[in-house]
Amino acid sequence: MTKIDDKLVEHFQAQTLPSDRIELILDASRSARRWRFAPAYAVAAMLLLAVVVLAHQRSLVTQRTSLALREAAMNHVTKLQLDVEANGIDALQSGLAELPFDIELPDNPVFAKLALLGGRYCTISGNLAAHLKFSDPESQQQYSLFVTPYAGNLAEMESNTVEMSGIAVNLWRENDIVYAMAKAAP
Amino acid sequence: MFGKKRTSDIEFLNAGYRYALSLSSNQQDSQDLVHDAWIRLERRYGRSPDKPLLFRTIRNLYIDQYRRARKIRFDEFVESTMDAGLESFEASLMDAEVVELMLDRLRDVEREALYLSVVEGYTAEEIASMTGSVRGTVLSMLHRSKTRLRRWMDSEAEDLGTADVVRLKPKGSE
Repeated sequence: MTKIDDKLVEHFQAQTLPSDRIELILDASRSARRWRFAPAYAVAAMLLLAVVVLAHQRSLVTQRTSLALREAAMNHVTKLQLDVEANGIDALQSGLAELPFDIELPDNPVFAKLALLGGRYCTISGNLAAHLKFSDPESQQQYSLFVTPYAGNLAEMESNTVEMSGIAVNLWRENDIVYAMAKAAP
Repeated sequence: MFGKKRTSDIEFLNAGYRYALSLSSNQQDSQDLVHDAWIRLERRYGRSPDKPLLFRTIRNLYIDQYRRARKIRFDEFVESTMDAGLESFEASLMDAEVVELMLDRLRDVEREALYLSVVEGYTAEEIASMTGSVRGTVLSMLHRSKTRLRRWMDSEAEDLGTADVVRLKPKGSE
């Protein structure tokens, strides 16, 4: 080492950070370390919240669907008086003139062999619906078909088939109409 | 355990500060550089940085913040005239202010190479790797920087005398 090297070493070694600055850096460093994972925690919390919200919404949908199915089953078994007796859809539509929608039969071919008895006003999940009653000429089995527009809280329901108290209920959607069919369980 | 780590952190901080000084030649800027670099590394890695990483981060920050803001020339070293009479300087008396003043007259790349070589003990090849240069350039730069230092200090010692030199406060020493 030359003398100039010695002087350079001596000069640089004499340079130190002020102690208050060192404390400032070390304090900030501890804080930085503590908050290092803050973005990851925030993302995890957001994901958890999203999962909880989705689970809650899913639970509401399931709950609403279950209530609608139960309502359809109850309407079917109580055998309430028909508001209109009709053997065709046009006559039924005329009789249930207060309905703000057209009654359309679903694509299910089973309805081609059933005989329409008539219909009545009813509600499904608080939505005005038409309750159509059919009879199977062969077995004399009674069928209830509930027809209501696909809107409001019905839009959040999912297709489902259940059996409750001896009644088989099927809920589904076709185009802009929600249908529920109830009959005695086989 | 905690005390050892604190001591080691302080050693690294001071080494980083000296390295920053070799780049910026300004005490306040150097404190800010080492501060920013240290916090940035803690935030990224969650632990105290090692020296090469700390130096690299300080260098990057220096280039980003200071070179652009002040348009500091950090370009290729250009050869200057070689001086004779080195031995006369070797024998001369230098005090800290003279050294600081003379270092201040060097370019940042020259001060950096000198610091890394003389104080930190890195080889020319290591310095070349750290600074993105080549070994030959580093060796040449080291030789010329020392030559210029010797020439300047020799000249200052003769012309000004120690009292005059002390009056010339280095940048950022207030």
